[in-house]
Amino acid sequence: MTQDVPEDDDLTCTQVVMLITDYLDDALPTTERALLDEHLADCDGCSAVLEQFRTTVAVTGTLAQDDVDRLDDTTREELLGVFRRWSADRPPA
Amino acid sequence: MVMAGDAAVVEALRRGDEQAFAEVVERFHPMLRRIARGYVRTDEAVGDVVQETWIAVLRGIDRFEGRSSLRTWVVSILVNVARSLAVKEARTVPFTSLGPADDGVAGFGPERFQGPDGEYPGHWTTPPTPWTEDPEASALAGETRAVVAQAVAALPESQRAVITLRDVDGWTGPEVAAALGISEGNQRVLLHRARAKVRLALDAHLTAGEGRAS
Ligand SMILES: [Zn+2]
Repeated sequence: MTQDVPEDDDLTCTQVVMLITDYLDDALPTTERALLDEHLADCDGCSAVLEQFRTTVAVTGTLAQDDVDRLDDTTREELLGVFRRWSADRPPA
Repeated sequence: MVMAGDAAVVEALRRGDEQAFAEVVERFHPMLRRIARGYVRTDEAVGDVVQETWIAVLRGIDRFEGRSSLRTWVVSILVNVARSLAVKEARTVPFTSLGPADDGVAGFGPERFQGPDGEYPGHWTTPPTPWTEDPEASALAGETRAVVAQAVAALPESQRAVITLRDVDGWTGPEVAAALGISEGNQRVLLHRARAKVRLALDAHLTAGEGRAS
């Protein structure tokens, strides 16, 4: 793909890379979003980076599957103990 | 955002319903531990933070007004508990400041972009190329997850808290900003910096052996 000669209000790749999270969050004003979309249509490098950010978000999301932080029985009992003590000390409503 | 059912759960807790407490503990526990680990180092300290958080939640339950969701409120309490413990361990930076800007542009070194004298200033010198391997493919998944977990663990605490809530636990930007007591804009800056570093770690992992990072 050939790159058009940039015009004055076109975004640079540096700007696009800094705006990717805003773009994915849909937090850009319409005019800026349109400029970014135009840039992406023409720029394979920035399109690759956008895809890499999307993949990064997806892979980070899989960390929720790790079970190192699941509630174990000992901790559950400790926390229920906390609740019982709190409940017993509580003045009746 | 107030979740449907929050009001019922809070009512049950106020009545002393142990089953309701057990359920909410079960539901929030992994998330609370993930966030706590951004502030304190040892597993024991993480357990302490989570326990102190539940004590504070119960003590404050009559003050919960439902203006935020229950989980937002619980996490904001956890962050306070964790921060005061981290202060005792004397390793914390002011959370509301963004911290120094990172080098380069979202993880790309300045040499990746053309200077003012280039043909197209601010555009790529060598454009990145798509990752050829799919990091979510099953053969790679375990290894890739370890790389990402390590990259997240290495982040400064504010970036780590934001990326954990947004990308691991799936919160919205406004929810994260409310729980951490920062502006939505700053929340997004921290998220972008965090994602940039995780992307860089993934890039190094996926292009290892290809001779050049994409
Ligand atoms: Zn570009």
